[in-house]
This record gives sequence, structure tokens and C-alpha cells, in this order.
Amino acid sequence: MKNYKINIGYLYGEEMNIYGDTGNVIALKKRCEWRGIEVDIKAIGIRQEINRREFDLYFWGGGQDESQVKVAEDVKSLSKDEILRLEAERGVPMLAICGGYQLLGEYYQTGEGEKIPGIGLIDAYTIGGIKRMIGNVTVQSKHFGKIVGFENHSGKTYLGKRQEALGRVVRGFGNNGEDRTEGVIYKNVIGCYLHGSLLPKNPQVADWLIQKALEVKYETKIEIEKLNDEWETEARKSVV
Amino acid sequence: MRRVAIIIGKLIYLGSRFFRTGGGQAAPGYYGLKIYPKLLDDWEKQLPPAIVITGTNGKTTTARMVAHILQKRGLRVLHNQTGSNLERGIASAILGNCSWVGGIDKFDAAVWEADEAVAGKLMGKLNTKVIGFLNLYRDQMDRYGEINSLVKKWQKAIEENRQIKVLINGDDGSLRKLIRPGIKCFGVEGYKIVGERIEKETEIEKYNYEAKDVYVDPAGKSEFFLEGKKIELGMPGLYQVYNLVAATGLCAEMGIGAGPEDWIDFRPAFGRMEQIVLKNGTKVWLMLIKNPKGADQVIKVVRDKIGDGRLLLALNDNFADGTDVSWIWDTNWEWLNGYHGQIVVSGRRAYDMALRLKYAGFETDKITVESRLEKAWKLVQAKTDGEVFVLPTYTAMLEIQSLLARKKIKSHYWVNGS
Repeated sequence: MKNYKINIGYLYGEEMNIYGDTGNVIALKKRCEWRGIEVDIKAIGIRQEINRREFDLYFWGGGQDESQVKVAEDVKSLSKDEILRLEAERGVPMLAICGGYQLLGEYYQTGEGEKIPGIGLIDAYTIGGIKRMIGNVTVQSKHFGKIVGFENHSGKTYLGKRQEALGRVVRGFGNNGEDRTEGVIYKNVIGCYLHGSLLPKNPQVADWLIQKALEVKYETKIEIEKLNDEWETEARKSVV
Repeated sequence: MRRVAIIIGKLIYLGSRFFRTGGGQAAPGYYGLKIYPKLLDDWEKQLPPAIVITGTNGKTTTARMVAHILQKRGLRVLHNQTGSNLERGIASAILGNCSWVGGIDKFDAAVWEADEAVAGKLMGKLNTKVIGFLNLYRDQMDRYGEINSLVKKWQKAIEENRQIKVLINGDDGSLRKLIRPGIKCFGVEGYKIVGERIEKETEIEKYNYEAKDVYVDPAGKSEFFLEGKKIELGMPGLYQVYNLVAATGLCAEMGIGAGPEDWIDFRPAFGRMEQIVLKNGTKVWLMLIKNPKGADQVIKVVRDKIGDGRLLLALNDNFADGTDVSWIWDTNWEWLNGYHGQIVVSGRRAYDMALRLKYAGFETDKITVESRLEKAWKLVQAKTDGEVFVLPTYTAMLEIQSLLARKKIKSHYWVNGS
């Protein structure tokens, strides 16, 4: 592809990176490289700032509860939360997993009743629960067909009435184990509870994120070439 | 019910040995505890003084090192040497060694390897004199939830059992919260473990047991000084140095000294880093993998030793392996990029592993996917001058052990010898 380049912003890669979610960044990078698209990944940590139009794609992974509190505080500093909201509205694609997903919402309520504010990008809130929702997950989604992954969370996320879920839970708990929804999709932002990692096994989602990143950045419709996803398909089968 | 539990447990133990169905590692204890849940509790008064070892990586090797020293001093040691380290594994080891009415009287000491999730609970129940905390990393997060909650449980257990001596890895930041007056620390000079990184400074002023002037030769051995004496260890990897220092510290806390001459004939536990020789002369290394930190260390060793050898990776997702395979994405398989041979990938999640390698930059035609372990094994075991490296997760390793025993290539795993 003619000299395309994508800048990926890896939010809190040091603090929120314990469930193999780096695999998503690896998948994005490789799938770009295989198509001749240059990729630059920059970690955005505590006390670091981001600028509008600096990144073409954001990734935000899951972490331990303690780190999540620190991160929730930090993302409010240097207007990071505002910039993320503005960029999302502009169409910049984002993938947020687990803790990152929770922080996209209005707030996260801990077991002790404390409300930790999120960045308010989506109409959703999460209540910390006692029961851990763990296991393989299969989701049926309108945009991506079947999505598979592994969940491990005690937080229950509830989406606002007009907030579209990523998909319907076929097997597993999903957002809250009650309403059979999993994840969220808003503009080009995807949030969900799926580890695995998510993108290696669900390349259609990876390619969608890459395509959106290019289209928004270069302001033109772009078709990216198909890759051989035979193993990805086989790997999905072993989860189902 | 206690008598019934003991009899049934012992029958299962003997049965599995006789019929070679599984080594009696966990089933005897599992059923024994089901029939009589207080089985382990009732034994406390009879159990010999114990050293308990827990942590994410190194438990089996360190426990074997401790047992090795104690046995050299002439002590009769009770030990869950197969590595089955939940409550049922410990109960099974006892059932295999007690009388038909549950009497335990021919042992001088016990060495218990305990899974991180149960160490806190069991610490007070096993007549523990010393407990060692080796390290704490993410491992099978689907089983334990969070590291922080685990450390809190340990803290509480230590507080409730002040009579037990505690030895921790002072280099591991995750264990920092356990430090309190009276606690002993072991470590390796100049190293500090932060999350997943090793850094070169330390906050702890004084270590009770510290390896100094460490030299790790990637080809297979390490040399270092401990308590002023030079030790040579025929096992590769910095983490083995940690294991040995921990073992030395644990024995010392029991009043038993260990010196360089004691380690000359020490052999590693099955599957952790075991070398076997097949009938056709081929040398095979079995190296267990289960979490990013441990796998990274194994990968470093393989990278330095493999040359033109063969490589078999076996990824399962059964309960004991950890049902969440996401960890392979935090493991640095890229470090093997210098290897240009064919890589065979097997196990229930063979395709996940194949995917991981593809994304790590390996050519897809250099990767053979064969989920069936027996067939995958056939591909790598043919006679060769190079060495064969097999990196299985836990249940895949058990399957390979079974395979090898069936073909009478090496002695079955409960016979203590490797």
C-alpha cells in the first residue's frame, strides 16, 4: 500500500497490561506490516500527554484493580480524557479491553461503594461484583460475525439504552451475566471483556480497526488487502 | 469416616501405581478429602516438622533441592515430589506413606510444595516450621484472580502463624508487602524483579542469603558464591540460582547447612528441565512452561542451546494448565527468531500457539501444526545428532511422560530418579 503509516497510542501499557492484551497491539502491528503499512507504537503512561491527531488508533488494556485507580486519576490530567472523547467523536478507532473498557464509561463502583469516574466516552457504568466471571466466550455480532475470547472479570458493566453492544453472548457471561450483551461499539470505538488475545483470533476486527484508522487519517475510502487467516479460523474453532 | 477415607485413599494410590494410570499424585487425596474433609487437619499432630515452599515458579525444583539436602543428612523425608501441590496432592503423598490406619511415624521431616492459592490456608495445618516464598508472577490468572489479593492472604496467614519462620525472595517487588521484623530474605546480588522486569538495584539493606558474583553460562551451568563458598550448578538459567539460594536458606533456617559438595549430584525434577535419552540415542530436553516469566527463562535457555536441534511446543488449556491461554501473548517467543528449523506445535490449543508464532515473525511454512501429541512426538523423536527441545504445559507434559513410559523409554515418573 502506498506509504501509509499508522500511529498507535498504547494507553497505560505499563500499568494495564497483565492479561496478554499486548497480543492485540502485536496483531495490529503485524497485520499492517504484512500489507506494507508502516506502524509506530507509542506507550502513553502516567503523567504523559497526548495531542489531537497525534494518534490514528488507540489501544487500552486490562489491569489489576489497584493500577486501575491510579490510571483513572491520571487520565483526567492533562486533558487526556477530553482529547480521547474528541478523537472518538472524530472517528479515531479505539480498542479497549476489560479495565480499559470499564474506564470508557461514566464510572466504576468498587465493592466498598466508591465511585471511580471514567472518561464518559460511552453511556455505561460498571459495578464491582464478588463473583468472578471467567471462561471462554462466544459472541454473535452484527458487524463482525462470530467473535471468540476469554473473559475474567468481576465487574458488571451496564450499557445505557441507546448504547449499542458489540454483540450478543452465545456462550459466557459478557458485560454483566444478566442481559446477554457483551462489549460496546460506538463510532469506531470497541470496548469489551474479551482477552485471548482478542485480535489474533478475530482478525476481522483487527482489519476493521486498521481500515478505520487509515480512512480517518487519510480522509478517503481505503480497501486493505485480505490476508490468509486460515490459522485464525482454526484457532477460533478450538475455543468454540 | 476417617478410616474409610484413609483406606480408600490408599487403595486408589496402590491401584494407580499398579495399573500405571497416573502415579497417584492427586486422586488418592482428592477422594480421601471428599469422604472425610478433615483428613489433613487430623493429621497435623502426627506430621513431621515441615518446610513449605510456595510461589509462582520454582517450587518443585526448590522443594527437590531441600529434600535432596535433608536426605543427604540421613533424614527420612516426606515430600510431595511429583509436584501435585494442592491440598489433594499433599494428602495423596501422605496416603502413599501412612499405615492403613493413618499412622505416620517413619519420617523425620517433611518438604511440602504448595500451590500459591492454598499456601496461606495450609501453612498453619502442616506442622510448618519454615515457609519460603519464592516469587509471585501472574500465573493462570483464571485460577487466582489477582496478585494483590493473594499477597494479602499470605500476610494474614503469616500474622496468624507467628511461630513459623518466613523466608522471602527479597528481589521480588511483589513480595515487598510481606516484609516485617523477623522475616529473612534471600536473593541474588545486583538483581531486582519489578513486575516482569529485572532491574539492577535493590532496596533491601541486608539479605540473609545472597548469591554473589553470579555467572550464568547459557550453555548449561552457573557459578556463584554463597556464604563465601563457590557453587557450581549444572542447570542453566538464573532462576535456578534463585532456587538453590532459597533451598540453602530454608535448610539453614532448620539448622541444616548445605555446601557446594552437596549439589554435585543434584538432578532436576521431571519436566521442569529434564534431559532424557531415547533408545535411539536422541537427547530430549523437557521444559515445562506455564506463564510468561517462566516461559521467557526457558526460551532463553533454548535459544542458546538449540542450534540445529528440533523444537516441539505443546499448549493445552485443561484446568491444571490454566484455561486462559492469553499468557502466550506476553511471552517473548520472538527471542527464538534466530532458530531456523521446523517448529512442531501441538496440544489442544495448537492453533493458538501457531498463531502466536506467526505473529512473532516465524514463517508459516516453518511451523507444523499437529494437535495430537502422540503424532507430534513422532515427528520430533526420530534419530538426530541435534538435541530435541520439548516445551509443554502441565497436562501436555504428563501426556508425554505417559507416552515415554508406555514405550519404556525412561522410568515412570514416581520412581525417584531421572
